[in-house]
Amino acid sequence: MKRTATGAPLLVGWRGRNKWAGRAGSRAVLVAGTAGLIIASAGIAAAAPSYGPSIGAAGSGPVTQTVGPNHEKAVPATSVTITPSEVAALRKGHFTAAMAWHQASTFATGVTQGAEAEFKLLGIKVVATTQANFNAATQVDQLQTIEALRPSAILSLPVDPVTEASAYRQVSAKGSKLILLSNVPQGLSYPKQYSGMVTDDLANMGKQAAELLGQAMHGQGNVGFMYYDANYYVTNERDAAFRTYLHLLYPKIHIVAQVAMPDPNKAQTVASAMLTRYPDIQGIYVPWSAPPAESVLAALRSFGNRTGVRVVTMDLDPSIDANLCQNHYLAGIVADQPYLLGQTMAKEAGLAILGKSVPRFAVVKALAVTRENILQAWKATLNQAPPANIASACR
Amino acid sequence: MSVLTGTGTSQSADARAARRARLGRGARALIPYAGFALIFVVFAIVLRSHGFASGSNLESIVEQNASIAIMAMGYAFTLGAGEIDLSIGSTVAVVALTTALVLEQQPAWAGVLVGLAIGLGVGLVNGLLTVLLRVPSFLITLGMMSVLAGIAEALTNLQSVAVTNNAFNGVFGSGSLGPVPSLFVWVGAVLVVAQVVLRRTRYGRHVLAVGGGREAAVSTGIRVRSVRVSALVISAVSAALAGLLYAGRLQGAAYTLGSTDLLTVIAAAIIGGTSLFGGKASVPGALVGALLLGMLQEGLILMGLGVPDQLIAEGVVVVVAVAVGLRERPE
Repeated sequence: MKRTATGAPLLVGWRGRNKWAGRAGSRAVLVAGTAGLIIASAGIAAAAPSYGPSIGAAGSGPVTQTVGPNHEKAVPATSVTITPSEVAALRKGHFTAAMAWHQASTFATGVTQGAEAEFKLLGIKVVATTQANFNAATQVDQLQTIEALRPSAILSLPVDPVTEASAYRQVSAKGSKLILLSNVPQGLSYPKQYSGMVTDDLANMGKQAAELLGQAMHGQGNVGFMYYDANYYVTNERDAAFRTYLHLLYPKIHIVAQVAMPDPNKAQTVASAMLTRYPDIQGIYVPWSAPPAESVLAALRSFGNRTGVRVVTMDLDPSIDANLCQNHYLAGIVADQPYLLGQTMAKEAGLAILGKSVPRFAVVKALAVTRENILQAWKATLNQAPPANIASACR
Repeated sequence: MSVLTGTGTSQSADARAARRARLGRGARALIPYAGFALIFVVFAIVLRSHGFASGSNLESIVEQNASIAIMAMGYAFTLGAGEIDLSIGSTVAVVALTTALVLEQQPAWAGVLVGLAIGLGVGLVNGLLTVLLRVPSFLITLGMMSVLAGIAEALTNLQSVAVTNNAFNGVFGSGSLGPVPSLFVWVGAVLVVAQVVLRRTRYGRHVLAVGGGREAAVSTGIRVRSVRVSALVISAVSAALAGLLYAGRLQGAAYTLGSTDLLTVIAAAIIGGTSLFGGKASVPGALVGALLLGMLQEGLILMGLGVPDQLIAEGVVVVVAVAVGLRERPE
């Protein structure tokens, strides 16, 4: 073995120093590598088909009526019913169900509880529940795991309609009846590959949000409009409907700032920048409660002197509901009804298992929540008493 | 007693101590495999009616965790050299998306080349910035993680891209080589190559020597900077390959791909016996660590545990596995 001058084993090859390990050579490789990376990205971006402006405010036209992601016509969720004989047939069949949600949240918990309660009445056993942290690959893995249980039905909110389409097709091909919430994977056909889709009455939610904010602003003033900058059907429709109805119902209210929020966890930064840039904003629309609306309220508190600003958002959440009663910033919340959504999905699953007809696209109405009815709204939408801090703030 | 006898007694005591230490290290090296076997047996018994031990389910576990396993095996080199790469998740997303975009108009080989070239470029930038600027790789790759995440979001304005190139999808995740799923082939190939490089080449010894002590490695004439750069190139290229496999398996790409993989990859490598502090690495251990974590997640779902219970159980098992296996830090 070769050794160094001090006698230590020489672990390098006989060729000695690497040509490019010298400082100049390393810099050259660094520059070349960086340049190559930039050129490759630029070339790809130039060659890529144009994906146009972001989906969201810039890309959506007026919305006055709820239609499905594939332009399906909506029917009310109240039209989904199960007869006593159908219940009896389900109870005899010892069927099973699984639920694969997009993320853990108050909303997902409400849907789960509604579905579980209905499944219990129908005698359908829930064998698995998952949540994917809003990660499409994770949800695909979870669907494959659920597939091993061969559930009779699967309730799911797909995170990504493009990358998960294949996984949902596979699950459907194995015989599980798919009931979808708020999103349909690309290319899935009704009723062969999915049995039905349920969501909120999105256009009406946008209208309710516009009415809450318009009334709080007394019909005039400037609004900052924050929207979720992603191709996500539910928020795209609600956001577009809010803008449409604000313009129609309150012509003296003007949207002076339209600000994209690609990362809901960074909403405070986005809101702070908007408030700095537009100091005359008197109203803010935030696409949902946690974390974006929670972050916007934090931004307003940090500004301190913007007490006159009114905020409207969607979905009840313990993190912000107390603010509604403390009369600080929140003017109102449009609350969907997750418990009822879950019950409806479970009913549709039961009907699908029996081979009965299920509506392609059913919608559940939302509630316009103010300080006056928030305690009742918690019970109505989530089927639970509000947390103690909300109950005491709103008494 | 003569001095000679005293020395001999001391020497045999030292030899016995050394042998015990070797046996101890050998036993500890087996812990990831024993843990994997134990968890498998428990689930196989508890979930026997759910077909946990069936061939199709085991195949599914490997397929679901192929990308994580490949990244973990590459990461064994990175950690072994005493470096860390926080940008692998973002690299996965950028590679998957750019490959998907290229495949819209170009043949499969072009998409693969571009994807791997991006991984190589990212690794080179990470590595050379680390050694030339003399900044810890933690910080360089933290910045690169953010840069790449922004690029991934900007590439398609947050929209997902479908991959409809059948040749690509077949080779990179959705197809098979005869009776063997393609993902198995990729995992097997990376396992063999990585293990041979780490254990049978001078380069592999250099990686561990650099991770074990940079100054000592310099004094023995090892090209430390080259090794450090290459370690970061390996993690980035592994992430690029994982990105290709994600795109092929999902038949699409989204900017969120890989976003939650970093901690899982690090955990898999460490559970498998690679040291977080450098100097010790195990490629098959990293594979076993990845499969153990994947098997655990799947088993808990099949047991019908609620989501909070799944998270708690996973965390407890990971802590126990790491605590039992991680007994010493290299000097």
